[in-house]
Formats: sequence, C-alpha cells, structure tokens
Amino acid sequence: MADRARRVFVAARLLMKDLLRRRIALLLLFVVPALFDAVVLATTAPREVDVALGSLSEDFAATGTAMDKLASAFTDDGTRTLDERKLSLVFLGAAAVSFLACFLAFNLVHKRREVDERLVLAGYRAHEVLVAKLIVLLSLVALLAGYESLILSPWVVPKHFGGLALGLFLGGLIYGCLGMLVGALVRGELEGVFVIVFLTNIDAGWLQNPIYFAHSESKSLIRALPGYGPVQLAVVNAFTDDAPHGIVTRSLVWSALALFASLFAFGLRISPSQKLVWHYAKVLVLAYAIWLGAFELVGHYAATLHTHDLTRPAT
Amino acid sequence: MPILSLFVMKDWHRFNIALVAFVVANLTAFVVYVALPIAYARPELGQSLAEKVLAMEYAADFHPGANKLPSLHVAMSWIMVCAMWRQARHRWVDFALVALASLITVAAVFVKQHLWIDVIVGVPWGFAAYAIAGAVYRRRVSPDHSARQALVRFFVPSKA
Repeated sequence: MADRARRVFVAARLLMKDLLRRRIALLLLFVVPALFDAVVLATTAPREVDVALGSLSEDFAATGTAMDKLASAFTDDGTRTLDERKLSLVFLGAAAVSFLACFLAFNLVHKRREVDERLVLAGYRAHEVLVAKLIVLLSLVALLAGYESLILSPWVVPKHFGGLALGLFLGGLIYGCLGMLVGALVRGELEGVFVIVFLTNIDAGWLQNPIYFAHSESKSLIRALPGYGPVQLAVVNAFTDDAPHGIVTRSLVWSALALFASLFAFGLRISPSQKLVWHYAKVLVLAYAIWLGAFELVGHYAATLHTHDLTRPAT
Repeated sequence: MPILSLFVMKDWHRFNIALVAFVVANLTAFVVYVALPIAYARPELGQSLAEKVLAMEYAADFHPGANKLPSLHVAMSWIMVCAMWRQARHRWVDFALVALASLITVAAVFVKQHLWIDVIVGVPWGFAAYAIAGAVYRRRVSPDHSARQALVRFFVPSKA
C-alpha cells in the first residue's frame, strides 16, 4: 500500500514538474480568468435584473382547490433581483474555471499517452497513473477556484466566500473529469478541442447563465447538465443567504460519474492487455448507436399504426 | 450486460456471435413490431425517486405504444448470458449472470415496460437468435482468423 502511494506521489510530482516547465501555459491559466472579468467590467452595466435561480425554486403541486392561489403566493419560484454586472462576473468566473480545468485535464491525459503506456509497461497500474493526474488536476483546480474567488472580491463581496469558492471548485472538478474522459476517448487533438469547446461553451458558458435560465423553455434539460450545480452554488452563495436544494449532491454525483468513466476509458486505453477490450468497447458503442437509430425509426413508424391492447379482451 | 461482457469475455468470437445475434433478434423483432403493434395503459406514477426515473422512461417511450412483443430487453440479456457462459474464471459468475438476466426479465414486467407475453416470447427469441447466429458465423468465418479479423470479414464481405 505504501509502495503504491509512493509511486502515485512520484508520478504526480514529476507531472507537476513537467507542467511547471511550460511557463507561458501556466501564466495563461491565471491571465485568462482575469481577462474574462475584464471583458465583463468593460461591457456590462451595473443595473438590476430579475433572474430565476433554479436551485431556490420550490415545487408547487396544484390541488385544484381554492387554496392553490394562496399556496402559490407562499411558494418560492427562485426569482431574485440581482446586479447584472456582478452576476455576470460570478457566472463567467465559474465558466472560466470549468473551461480551463477541462482543457488542462485533456492536456494531462491526451498529450502524454505514449509516456503513460511506457509507465504501465514499466510496472505502473493504469489507475495509479490516472490518480497521479487527478492529484495534479485537483491541486490546480483548487488553486484556480481560490484565485478566481479572490480576483472577484473587489467587485463582488460574496455573502458566503466558502460557498462561492466551492461552486467554482466543483465546476472545475466536474469539467476536469470530463476533460480527462475526452482525452482518453479521442484520438486526435483537434477533435478533442472541438468536443471541449462544444461542451463547455454550450453548458457552462451559455445555458447555465441565470438570465437565460429565467426564460428557458426547457429548464429540466438545463438542470440535467453538469454545469448546473456548480454555477447555482456559486451564484446562490455569492448573492443570497438561502440554501440551494440538493446542489452539492448533484455536483458530487456528476463528478463521481465523470471520474469513473474517465478512469474506465483511460484504463482500457493504456493497458496493453486491454487493447482488445478497448477495440470491442468501440464496436459496442457503434453497434448501440446503429441499434438505437433503427429501434427509434421502427418504433415511431409502428406507433402510427393501428395498435392492439393485449391486456383487454378482444371485442 | 454487454458492457459487463467486456470484462468477462475470453473467447472474443463469442462476442462476435452475440453481435450477429443482436442483428438477427432485432431484424426479426422489427417485423413483428410492425405487424402487431401493441399499446396498453400505463399506471399513474407518484413522486418517489424510482417513479420519477420511470416517468422519464415512459415519457421517452413511443406513444401510444410500440416495440413491445417480443421484449428486446429480455432477448438481449439472454443473448449475453449465452455469450458469457463459462467465460469467467469463477463458476459463480455464470450463476450471477443468470440471476441478473432473470431479474431484468421480471423487472421488464414489474415496471410495466412489457407484458408477460412479451417476456415469455423474448426469452426463447434470444436463445434462438444466438443459435442461428452461431451457425451462420461458424459457416462464414474461418477458425484461423482472429476475432478482430473475423468480425470485419463477417460484416464487410468485400474485405474477405
């Protein structure tokens, strides 16, 4: 056990050393969030806007009685009046941390594949290599979340600094794990970059904006996305004293899922004895996609035909 | 269960046969789905977590109903049991797989995704598909080929 821990620690230390050699990239890691904030400050006016915070809204089940109107008046629909500039700073801060963590994790996994395969041939286990990467990623995400919370503080005095930092950290953690997954799955660098840009821009950079959320036609879809929990946690803790419902659990579940999937894909990818498994895993994904398409096609057609109910006696 | 098979399989030709069996089971089932589309009333669901998950499944399903008889949930589970049989190092894995497939079979009825008739037909459908696929696969593929080559040669005859 101690030997394993030592191997993981050595791998993490050397990986960190390797990262520190790339000074421009590290510098950008801290310049980019500041640039995001500068753009917000330069383009957004300080004005009050009504936004809907999904994690504060309470479910209201209509009973069809006269009490419904009274009950709805006491139900919190999550609407709050916030300063648009401050809100944009927090929202884009979360987006920046998620975006950078995703790219960093992708780089940690994708760029060093040959080295990792060599490490496995030399006696490392696949999960030990990934745990070493995870340690480096967690350290950098924690650093980024703390840094982003600090550079926001001259403009946004958060109600709960710890909650804001936790939201930013969880955003980085989830997207970091997703970045590792993309790094393990995608063969070419360009494809990986496209996937990451698509994922982070759509979710963390657009749909999770509370201003957009207020008028969205499909709130349940936005709630289901990985960026929902961290952004809600950051915004609610920055501006209110309220407790968001089930957001930390949701974020931790997303992190665990993404981490498990990345561990699984990474293990199959670099372990020499698992090459055939990896091949068949890809075959399985392809087969499933073809099957799903055909099943949906047939099902939609069959549903338009005259259906029979076998639970009822024939008339 | 197909994902599970990635960790259990030793003879990958059996995985290839399972893939062919999927094709056989699906194509024949599609004919029945179109010839005899089945729909039935679903129960009203409550607010528990399990019922919410089930409500999502119902919402994504076809309306008023389709693709019920035979149950492909069940047929595919038993195809995978056939493919993974005696592949694991320990014998108890075989019994665990049978138990898992049995649970999937029963659960398909209990969650009202299928009727009893769907699953009763689905079980032999899976076995028959695996038997047919095995016969066809062995006829078309040389035992000298690796599983990887054989899969390509089976589905892309021009590469044979």
